[in-house]
Amino acid sequence: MQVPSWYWRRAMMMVLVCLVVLVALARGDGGVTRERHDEYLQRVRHQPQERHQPPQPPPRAPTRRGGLEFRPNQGDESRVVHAARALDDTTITLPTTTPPPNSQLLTSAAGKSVAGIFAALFVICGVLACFFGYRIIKIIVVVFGFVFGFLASYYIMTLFIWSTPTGAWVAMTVGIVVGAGLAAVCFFYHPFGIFLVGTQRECSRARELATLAHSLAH
Amino acid sequence: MISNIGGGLAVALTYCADYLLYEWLVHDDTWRAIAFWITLPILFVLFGLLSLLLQRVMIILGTAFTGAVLVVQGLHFLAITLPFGDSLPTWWHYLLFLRVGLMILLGGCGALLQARASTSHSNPRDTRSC
Repeated sequence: MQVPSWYWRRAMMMVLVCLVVLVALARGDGGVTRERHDEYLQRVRHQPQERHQPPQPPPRAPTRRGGLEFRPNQGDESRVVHAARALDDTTITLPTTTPPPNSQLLTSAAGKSVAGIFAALFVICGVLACFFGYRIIKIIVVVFGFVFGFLASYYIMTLFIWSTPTGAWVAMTVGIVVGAGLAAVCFFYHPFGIFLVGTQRECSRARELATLAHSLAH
Repeated sequence: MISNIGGGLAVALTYCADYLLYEWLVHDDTWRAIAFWITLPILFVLFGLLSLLLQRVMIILGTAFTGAVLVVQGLHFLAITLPFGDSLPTWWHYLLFLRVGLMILLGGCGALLQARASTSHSNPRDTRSC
């Protein structure tokens, strides 16, 4: 098969762009969902709504230790005891510390900038695919092969096999390898790429169903 | 021309049947597992073979509507991540309910334009023309 030289450069460029987008989405715990957007809107508009809260343990009663009023309401007693000993006869109430949720991706300035850049990339790639998809189908099948391989292996590993943060990195590495392999297959065997492009609807539905089944199981 | 229209109608009907079947199966707890393990693989192979049989139609429809989804979702993400995203007007949030309509409109326009443009171009699989 005769392949022009520019084609290699363009294919590699598209694969690199896909790689960056997928890594960013994977690090951001799947990108922006409707629930995350609604949560974000509630936060920025200062209109908190009633949401289902997990049951909280009842607060422990204050105790006295050598004239100190001890309020271990933060779950970190060693810090409280240490501070009480240092300050002597002082009522101590530390501020509540909660781990930052993953949904803070869009609230920080850096997260917003990165998400904005990738959103712009989405728009550009979408316009190219929407209006010039038939002419650049050779590039699209390579990119789609990579995305298919990455997402399939990543979701299978993180949903069903290994759901720890370390597992996510392993899944990402495996996904990149599998995606690169599928992209190569699509590049050298064109009908396989066409086959995958035709099955994109079922791929997205399989992902939705797998996520739904996983959420129902847990 | 007739074969293209027939292929397009066949694909559209298959999409509709696929959508109805999926909506019926996925909202039923009993049938969801069957939808995942039996129906999805069958549809996966079916659409893959359909894309091989009707390459031109499936490529144009697939790329146009996938691109439309990317454009609309990207615009939405862009709007909520830009600095003025915190103070987006109310009409934007109503517009979100029309996202599916926008995707269909954009995808349809893209598919029509690609179909018209592709009649004057050679087969994209033919690398000798590049």
